[in-house]
Amino acid sequence: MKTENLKLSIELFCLNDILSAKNAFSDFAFIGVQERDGYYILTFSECRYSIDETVKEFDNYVISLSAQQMKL
Amino acid sequence: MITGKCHLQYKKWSVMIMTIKFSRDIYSKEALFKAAYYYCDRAYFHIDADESYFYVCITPKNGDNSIPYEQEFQNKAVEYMNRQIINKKTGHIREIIMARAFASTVILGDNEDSTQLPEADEESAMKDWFDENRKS
Repeated sequence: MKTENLKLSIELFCLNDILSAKNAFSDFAFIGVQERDGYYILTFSECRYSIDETVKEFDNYVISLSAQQMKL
Repeated sequence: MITGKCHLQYKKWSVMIMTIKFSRDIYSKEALFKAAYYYCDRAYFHIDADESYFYVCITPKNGDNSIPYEQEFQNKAVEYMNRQIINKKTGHIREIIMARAFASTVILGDNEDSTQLPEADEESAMKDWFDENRKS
């Protein structure tokens, strides 16, 4: 089974946003979350579509969630 | 200068993927996230950081290399930084203006009873309370 990891900096990303995104993507992939060395390590597996596209779309989704909560 | 010409470097790993380095002294996390959000329908983004720099990795969607995303992203990041600076300098003025605009319809004088509001007419709704009650 093909898996891929995504590293998101703990300093930049909020766990709530990551968990919200994980929930939103629950129909498209199984996503495991771990915390290690200042990063959230997200492991993608059982992807319904291309695993590469899924990871990239997930990254964009988390960035979007974070950006919407930020005030300039 | 916000543009920070020497602090902004980028290199192309390949035709498709670009990584741009932004100095943390000049750019804020908020500006980079907002800029990425602006373009997230056209490119994939990955944002990372170390002690001195933010790293933004851009991959155009659908292999579309016709748009210079690295330059566009840099411009957008500068724009959002500029907005942040202006907001820091003038945000409180905007809040006062908004508060005053909304408060003008509800402020009562010292001797007025809140249960006995004057009858409203069409013209009074368009007049500013401060203009009518300003002490000369």
